[in-house]
Amino acid sequence: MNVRDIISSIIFYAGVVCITLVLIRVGSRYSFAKVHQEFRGMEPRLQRGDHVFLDKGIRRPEQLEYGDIIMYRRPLWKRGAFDYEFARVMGKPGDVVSMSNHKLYRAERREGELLAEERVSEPYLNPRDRPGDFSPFVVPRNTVLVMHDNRHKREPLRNLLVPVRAIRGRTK
Amino acid sequence: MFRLTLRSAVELSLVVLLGLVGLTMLLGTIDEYKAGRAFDDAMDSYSASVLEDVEDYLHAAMGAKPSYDAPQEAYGKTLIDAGRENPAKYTQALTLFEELKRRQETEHSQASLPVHVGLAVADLEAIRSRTPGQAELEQALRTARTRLEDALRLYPTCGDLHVNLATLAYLENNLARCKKGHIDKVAEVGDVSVDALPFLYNLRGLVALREASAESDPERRSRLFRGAATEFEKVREFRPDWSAPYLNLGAAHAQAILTHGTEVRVVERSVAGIKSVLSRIQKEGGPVYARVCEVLATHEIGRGRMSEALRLFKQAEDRGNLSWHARFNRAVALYLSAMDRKKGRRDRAAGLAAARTELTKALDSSMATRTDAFVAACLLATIEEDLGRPEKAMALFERAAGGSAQASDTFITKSMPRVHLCLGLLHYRAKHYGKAIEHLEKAGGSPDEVGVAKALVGRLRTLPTIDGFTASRDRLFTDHDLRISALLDAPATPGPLGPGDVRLTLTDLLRNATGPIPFQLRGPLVRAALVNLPQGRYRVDLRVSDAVGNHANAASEVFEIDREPPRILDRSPAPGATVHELTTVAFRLEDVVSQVDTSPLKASLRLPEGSALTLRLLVSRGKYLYPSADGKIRTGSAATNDVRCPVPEPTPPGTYTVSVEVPDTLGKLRSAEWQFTVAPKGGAKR
Repeated sequence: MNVRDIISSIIFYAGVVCITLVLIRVGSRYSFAKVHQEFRGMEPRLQRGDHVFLDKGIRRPEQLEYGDIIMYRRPLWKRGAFDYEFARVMGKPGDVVSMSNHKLYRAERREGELLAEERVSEPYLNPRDRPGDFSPFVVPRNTVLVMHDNRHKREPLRNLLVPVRAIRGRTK
Repeated sequence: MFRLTLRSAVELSLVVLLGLVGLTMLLGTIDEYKAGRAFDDAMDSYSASVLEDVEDYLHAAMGAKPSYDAPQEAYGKTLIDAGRENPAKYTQALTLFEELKRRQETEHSQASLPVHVGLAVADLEAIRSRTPGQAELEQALRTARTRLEDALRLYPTCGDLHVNLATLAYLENNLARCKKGHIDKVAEVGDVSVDALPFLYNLRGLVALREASAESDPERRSRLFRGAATEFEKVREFRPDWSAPYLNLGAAHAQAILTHGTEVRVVERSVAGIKSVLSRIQKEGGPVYARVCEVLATHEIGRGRMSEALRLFKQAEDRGNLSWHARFNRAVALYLSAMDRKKGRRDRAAGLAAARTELTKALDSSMATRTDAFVAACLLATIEEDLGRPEKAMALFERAAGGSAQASDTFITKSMPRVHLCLGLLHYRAKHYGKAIEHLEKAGGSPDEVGVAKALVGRLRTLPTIDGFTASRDRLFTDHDLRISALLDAPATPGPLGPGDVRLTLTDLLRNATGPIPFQLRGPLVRAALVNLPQGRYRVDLRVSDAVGNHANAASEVFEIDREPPRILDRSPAPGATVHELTTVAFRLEDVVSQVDTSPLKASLRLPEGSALTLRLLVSRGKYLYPSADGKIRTGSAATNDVRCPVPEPTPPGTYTVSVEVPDTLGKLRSAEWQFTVAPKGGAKR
């Protein structure tokens, strides 16, 4: 065993370790997810059976942008044929959100200050959908308020609030 | 083939070393991982209200990492939740939170937020579960407030603390502090946990309900009720497993229906709200369910669904005593149900009897408002009328109308015209036409009913008339017969006129005597005939009276039945008399009925036999032929009824005969003669 062999071994194992670390890092941050065949909540943006690329590193509300589509674990009372679903982030903790005349209004909170309420522009919605109204409420901490693109029926408010711990990532 | 060399030995050692390092690191974090995973599952189960799993997962989390506080704090919360069923759990929770507080203060110098809140809540709930006295409760509230306010100083932006403080303020009946001081602060600070949200919205709903109850402005009150219902709806969406939002929602909707009974939109919305939670309220709350059933039943009465209303009243009664108003409304429903045309006679009678009993109680109850008494009296009157007792019905309607004369209630004011209509018709049927007019003139109701009332008033107000009244002499059997006929019209009298409504009289103007004439009444035609009337001057009077008491009169022209020629009265010299001298022959003419026609009057005097002149004409064609000595009568002057015929000389003694012929204006001629004797004093003078 000469010095050259030792150096080449070190380079080899270092390379293996680096590649392994990169793979672990990439795998923990990104992954693929398949939209369940029965899930229609985000059509046509996400078609049933599509494969979506998931950014698993972005889970915290401050990392998320309004309108981002996230994948999250369904709450227990909704679990059935599939455990995950997709929805858009419409409110972050501290925001005051309301639905009036089927239009979504949001007062954002920035640095602890509540800004003026504004109507949220949602060009991706089906104009024939008539989601049920709800009066203003504060998005609780450690949750985000999400809504599907298809809003033909009224979702109970508790279905709209997703705990941060249930978020699996943001779709690309 | 693996061959152990120095190089491979070094490589293997390196791999083993790395593997050991990795394994050690993995084992070092596995408990934390397991605790975190179990805690996540516990929180998921808690959100889904699967409380058995929550406890298992929390125990797993606490077992995996005993120093991990979050599962223990969550376990304390589950103990508080379980304390509603088993108050001993509050003490367990209190012990747990006190231990956590001690540990956290030792390790981190201050306790976490859940520990502060948990301590305050567990302590307060433990005392409340013992049903303390007012002083003890107030002390417990003060202690809890102090704890929470201390925590608020440590966590000034924590909305959960404001939710708890708002609850305390609500329990202390301090609505202003509850709302302005804390509830509004939650949106301001924006940091609130998802678990606190249902408490927050439930509290907001309760505050809105309390404010609505104290509000006098209907518009604002309606808005508050709507707001309360919206908040309870939100609670229901967050925590469908709770019974409180359903009960509160039912109470809010029921209150809204009671307060806005006339606003159809509000009521329909509230009824829909109640129906969406009715099955849940039925499962949860006896008194609330009973109350909600009462309100729904009352609403069903308004919609005309009596069987449904009675079913709901029955359900309410099964859950508890009916309120006075519910009993009253049930009586109304019984009445309306009995009046349903589809009901058989027996059901109808039973329903009316039951309604009558309940309404009689309601009418005499001291609980009855003016409106209640009004409605009860009206319905009872209708029942009495239906049972064929119009006198009682009238008395009850009069009571309703009289008791409500000064009422300012809109319902009564609107209903009074209908009461007057009923009263008017009852009086009309009872032939109290004066009262019928009085009430019918104030009557109201549907256009048809108003039309009937107006028509009746019009008829009652129309005076009777007599058309074509004739009373003329006609030869039926004799020349002195009378035929009478007339057409009568009395619109106020229902049905044909009776003999009592017509009076036909004959007045003899000469004798000033009046007597009835028998007549025949056939429909509107009255006919009569008088045969061979005695002499006289007559007038026929006809009087027709209607049911209201109005009269119409008609009188015929005066007509005369003259059967005799003029009479010759006050004859002078009187027949058979003996006078000493004769200067004047006088008599008076009189006709009882008509006039004496003196123009053809002829009076003559036949002198005694042997006289040179046998006949001397005194009056011819109504004119004197000789003047009087005093000059008052001149030759050729017209004789009047008082005839004084001067007799010229000579008037030899003997028997004289006066002949008079005079007709009346109808041509009946009177011829009369009488004799007298002239015998001078002291013998005959030639």
